[in-house]
Amino acid sequence: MRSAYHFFDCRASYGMRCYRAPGSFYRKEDLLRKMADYSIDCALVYHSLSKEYDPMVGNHVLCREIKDDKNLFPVWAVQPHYTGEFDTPSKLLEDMKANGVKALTMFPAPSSQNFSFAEFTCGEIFHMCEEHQIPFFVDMDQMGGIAAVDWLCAAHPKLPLVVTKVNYRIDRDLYPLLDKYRNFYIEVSGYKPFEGIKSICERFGAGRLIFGTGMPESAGGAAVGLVTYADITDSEKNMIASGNLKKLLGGVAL
Amino acid sequence: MMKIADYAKAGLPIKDVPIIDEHNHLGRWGAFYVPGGGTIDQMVNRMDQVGISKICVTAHASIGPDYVYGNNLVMDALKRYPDRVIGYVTVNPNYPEDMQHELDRCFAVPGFRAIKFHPECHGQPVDCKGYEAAFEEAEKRGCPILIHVWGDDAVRAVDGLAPRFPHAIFIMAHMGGTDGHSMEKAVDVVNRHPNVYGDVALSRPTEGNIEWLVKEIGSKRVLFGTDMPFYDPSHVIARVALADITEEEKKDIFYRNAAKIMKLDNPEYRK
Repeated sequence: MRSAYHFFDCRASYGMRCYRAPGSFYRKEDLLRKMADYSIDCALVYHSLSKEYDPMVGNHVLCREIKDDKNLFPVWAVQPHYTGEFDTPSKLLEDMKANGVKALTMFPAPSSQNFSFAEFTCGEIFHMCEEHQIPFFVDMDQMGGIAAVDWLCAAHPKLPLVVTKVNYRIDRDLYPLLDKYRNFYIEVSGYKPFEGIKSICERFGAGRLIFGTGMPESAGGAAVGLVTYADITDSEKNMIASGNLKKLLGGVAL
Repeated sequence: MMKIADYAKAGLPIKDVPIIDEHNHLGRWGAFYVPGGGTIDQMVNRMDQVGISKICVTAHASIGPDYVYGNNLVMDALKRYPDRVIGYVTVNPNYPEDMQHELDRCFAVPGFRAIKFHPECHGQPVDCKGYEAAFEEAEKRGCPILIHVWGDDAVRAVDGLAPRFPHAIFIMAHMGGTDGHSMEKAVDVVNRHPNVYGDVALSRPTEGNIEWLVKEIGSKRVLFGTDMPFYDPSHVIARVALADITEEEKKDIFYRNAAKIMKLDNPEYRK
């Protein structure tokens, strides 16, 4: 049976990884099969090479491998361009247009690509995303914690920021930030407080939450249940499942 | 007839299959906000929304500083919802002089059926000497002990304890937790000791985790636990309901295994 809701996953990936968790997949075909099992219609995806090896390589491989998959949409990982390893923002924008890329991500943590998540390194990229309304997805642990949301939203008030891979312990910091800024969203796969989605919808509106699975690093079925079983209206569930993400992607002006 | 997965996709409470959730808490928690305070009324309401029949409860206060205060909260929940709640007697190894008294006090109340340890919160190892009276009590009663098992040291401790107390039932909460390595070691311990089980309460499980557990140890010693209201039960119930395993394996996890170790004799649980 199909789900009553139309799911658009904002945070999936595939590809071989340095560490493979027991039972998890890595092939694109397995991602597509899991999406079908969970009734997820489509997904924004990045390639594991973009995170764990080199974004230029991973982004290129991704576009080549998913070009015939109508329900997978590319997310490119970005790095600062100053060393010459990565394209300048203007060249990046050209390539995004040419490849139909409408979303970006970044892996700056010391254990990943090891650069500062700061204005002096990433400011030009953030300005580009603001100007072209490109949704920018970043894991909370890659940002170094939720406090980074405060400076990023203050410095770039028009940046469509989606904070991914959050945890269920953040509400005491998250609520004031949701009150203070309107331009950031929470991806739901890690957001698991007891009745947490209901509470966010009541206080801040369903427009602040976006469905994502984090597959294969996280369990896709768990993310589906967070939305289907939330004690909110069907209209709110559909906003979270796909409506909010479609709205963000619809606003991209490349 | 709807399949179990269909209920989760539709967001409907799972019917036809009773669900016993063997890992729950109760009340507030110091380290983060629990919306609404995690009261027993909220929890029972949430159980109805997702289709959980019974919950086995240890209060947050008990795994925190005051096990007496927490056990009293569980007593109150048992009185108010005797058909929905099963109690864990929670003990703290830093107060061994009171342990037997607390076990006797709580087990005298109908509905307490098992024991709970949270060694990490209480700053002691799983095989701490201070737990000895509780191990003996579980051995005498043949009852489960739900233990927070997070990491290799805790898994190793259960490996040593299981043969020493062969009539006690050891439940490794979170199946070793932390990462795949600890979970692989926990799976090995379950496979070597018939009195060891593991539960699926995880805040960040990887894709395929349920399928992998069932492949490695079978469905007979995997328990359904949500950790409510530490977090919401929705994602755990959907993770099992949507897993690529058989309906019979899902029934083992959802209720048959818990009914067996909690000695629930309702014929419904033998289906």
